[in-house]
Amino acid sequence: MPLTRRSFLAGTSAVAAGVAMGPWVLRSHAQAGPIKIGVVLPYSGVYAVLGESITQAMELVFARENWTVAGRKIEMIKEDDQMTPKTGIEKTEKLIESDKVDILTGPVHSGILLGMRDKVHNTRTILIVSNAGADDVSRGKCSKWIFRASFSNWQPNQPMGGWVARNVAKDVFLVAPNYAAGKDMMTAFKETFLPAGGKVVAEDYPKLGETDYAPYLTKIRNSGAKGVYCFFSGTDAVNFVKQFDEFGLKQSVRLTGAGFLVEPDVLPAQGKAALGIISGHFYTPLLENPTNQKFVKEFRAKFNNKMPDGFACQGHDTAETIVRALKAVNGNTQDKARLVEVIEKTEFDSPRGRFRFDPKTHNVIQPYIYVREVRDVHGGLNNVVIDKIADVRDPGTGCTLPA
Amino acid sequence: MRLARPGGFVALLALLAVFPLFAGNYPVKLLHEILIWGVFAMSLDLLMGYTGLVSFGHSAFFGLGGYVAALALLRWPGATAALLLPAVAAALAALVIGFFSIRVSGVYFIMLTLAFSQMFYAVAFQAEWLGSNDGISGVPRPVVVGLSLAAPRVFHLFLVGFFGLAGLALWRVVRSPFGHVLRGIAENEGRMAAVGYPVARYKLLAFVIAGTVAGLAGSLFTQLNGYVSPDAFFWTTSGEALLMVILGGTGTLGGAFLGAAAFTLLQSLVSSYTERWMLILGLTFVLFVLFAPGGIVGVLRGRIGLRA
Repeated sequence: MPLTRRSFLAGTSAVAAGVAMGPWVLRSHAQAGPIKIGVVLPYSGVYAVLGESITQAMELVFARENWTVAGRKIEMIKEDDQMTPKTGIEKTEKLIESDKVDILTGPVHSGILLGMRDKVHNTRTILIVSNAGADDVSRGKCSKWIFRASFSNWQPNQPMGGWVARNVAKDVFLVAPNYAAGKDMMTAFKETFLPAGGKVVAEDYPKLGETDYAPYLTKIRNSGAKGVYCFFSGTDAVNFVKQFDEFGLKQSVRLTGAGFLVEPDVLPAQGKAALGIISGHFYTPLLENPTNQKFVKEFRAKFNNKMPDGFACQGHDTAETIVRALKAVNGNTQDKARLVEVIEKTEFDSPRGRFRFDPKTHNVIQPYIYVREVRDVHGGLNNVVIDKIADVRDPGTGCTLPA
Repeated sequence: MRLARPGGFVALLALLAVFPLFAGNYPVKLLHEILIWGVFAMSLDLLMGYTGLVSFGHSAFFGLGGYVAALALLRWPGATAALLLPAVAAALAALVIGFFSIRVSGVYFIMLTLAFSQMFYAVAFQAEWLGSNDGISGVPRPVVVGLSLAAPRVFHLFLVGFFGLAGLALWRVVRSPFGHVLRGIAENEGRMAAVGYPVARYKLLAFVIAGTVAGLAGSLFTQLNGYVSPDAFFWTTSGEALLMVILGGTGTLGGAFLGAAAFTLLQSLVSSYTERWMLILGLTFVLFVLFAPGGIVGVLRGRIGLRA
C-alpha cells in the first residue's frame, strides 16, 4: 500500500493526538490525596487585576491554615479563562473531568458563569462563585450545587434607589453601558427609587468601552437632573468620572453609582475627579470591624502594601467558606450532598460583616450595603462609609433550587 | 492537491469514533472542539485557500448558526432546529453579505466582511431578547432520528459523522470542475473572466457554501456547550480560524483540520501552565510563517517527501 497524503495525515494525527492526550488517559486519581480547589478566573488581559485580587485573598486565607485542612493538603489549580466563554467553559470541563476538583470557584465574567452553569449542575460539582453577578444564577437558573460568595448585580443597586431619592435628589439621570448587567442594575435601582418619590429624568446607555462621553454629559446638563446614578467599571469608570468632572458638571449635579465606579482598581486613575462621588457597595477597606482590620493588615503585609478591594473580600469569603465547610465535614469531600448542607449553614465574620448564605437561593445575604463617599483621608482617596442598609438579600424570583 | 485515498480518511474517522473508549471526558471535549473548529476552518479555507478571498468576517456565519440553533432548540429540539434552520440562516446571510463583499477585493474585501460580522456582534451584544452579553444558556441538545444527542456517546458519533460528511462535501467541492474554476480565480481572476467564466457568480457561490458550512459548525458549537454568547460573532473568532488555516497550510483541507487541532491543543494545554500562553502561540505562529509558509502540511510534505 503506497503511503499517500491522506493515510499519512490520518496516521500522524492519530499519533499526535495519542501523545497529547496520553498524560490524561493514564492519570489516576487517588482519594486520600490533596483537596483540589479549581479556580477559573481571568489571569491575562485587562481583567487580570480582578482575578489577581480574588486569588491573592484566597491564598491568604489558605496560608493561614498552612494549606492544610483536616489533615489534607489544599491544592489550588488555577486556570486562565481569558474572559471568553469558550475558554471558560473548556477550562471548567478540564477542572471537573480531568483534575477532578473537589470544589470549583470563579468566574469573573457573567457569561462564563451562565455558560458553565449546566455543566456544573449536571455533574453535581460544588461551585462557589467568587465574582460574576448575573442575577439569573440566584433566580431561574439557580442550582443546589452553586453558591455565590460575591453579590448579585441587584444587591448593591436596589437599596441605593431609596437612599438617593431621600438624601441626594429626586430628579435623577440614569447612565450605564448598553449590556445585560448595566440594564439589570438600573432596573434594580428603580425598584426602590420610584416608590420613594424619585423621578427618572432620562436614562441613556452608551456602548461598553465608550471613550467619549461628551454627548451624554451634554444631555445630562440639559436635562435639569440634580443627580446622576450610574454603573461603570474599569476604563469606562475612569473615562466617565474624569469627563464628568472636566465638563464642570460636578458643581451642579451629584454623581452617584454602584460601587464598582470608584473601587481601588480605578480610583488612582480617576484622582481628584472622583472626590465626592457616592456609591453603594458591600465593602470598603476602611470598615472598622476587627476581622477586616486583621484582613487589611495581613493583605497589605503579604502583597506589597496593596490595599484589598471588594474583589479581595470576595476571594476571602470564598476561601473562608471552603475552609470552614471542609473542617465541618472533617475533610471528607466524597459526600457532596452533605458538603452542600454544610456550606449552606456556614456562617462567619467576614471583612464585610456577618457572612451567611440565603438558604433559598444560595446567594450571599449582604450584611450591609455601605453608602460610601470618596474623600481624601488616610493619605489618599478612600471610600468613607456615610450610611448603611442592613441584610440585603436577592429576591430570588423563580428560584427553587432543583436537586 | 490530491486527496487520493478515501481509505485513509475512513480510518481517521474510525479512530476518532472510538476515541472516547480510551480517553477521559476532557480529552474528548477537546476533540469535539477540534472537530467543530476543524470544519469551521475548512470552510474558511474554501474561501482563503481555494478562491483567494481572505475573509475576516467568517465569524458572522459561525455566530449566526449558533444563535439560530440556540433560539430554535429552546422551542423545538429536533433536527430542523439543530441543522436545517442554522444552515438556511447562514446561507441567506452569506448570500447578502457575499453579494456586497465580492464586488471588492483585497483589503476592501477584508474590511467589508469584518464590518458585517461586527454588526452582528453589536446587535447580539446589546439585544435583550438575545440575552445581551450574557448570551443564551441552557440550550438543550436535539433528538435526531429518534436518538437523543444528550447522550455523550451519541453526540460524539454525531460530531464525528458531521465532521466526516462536511469534510467529504468540501472535498467534493474543491475536486469538482467548480472547484477548479475557483482555483483558477484565485490564481488569475482576470484570465478566468476573459475565458468567459462569470467570476462574480462563482465567487458568490463559494461564499455561500463556506458560510453555510460555517453556520452548521456554529450550530454544533452551541449544542456542544449548551450555550452561545456574542463572542461567537467577534472578530477574534474569525481571527482564530484564520490562524488555524495558516498554521495548518492554506489551500489544503487536511491542513485546516490539522491547524485547528494544533491551535486548540496549544491554547488549552499551554494556557494551563503559563499565563503567557499567547506569547508561545504567537511565537509558534511567527516561526511557521517565516520558516514554514506551507504550514503543518507543508512541513510534512517537505520532510517526508509526500507529493501533492
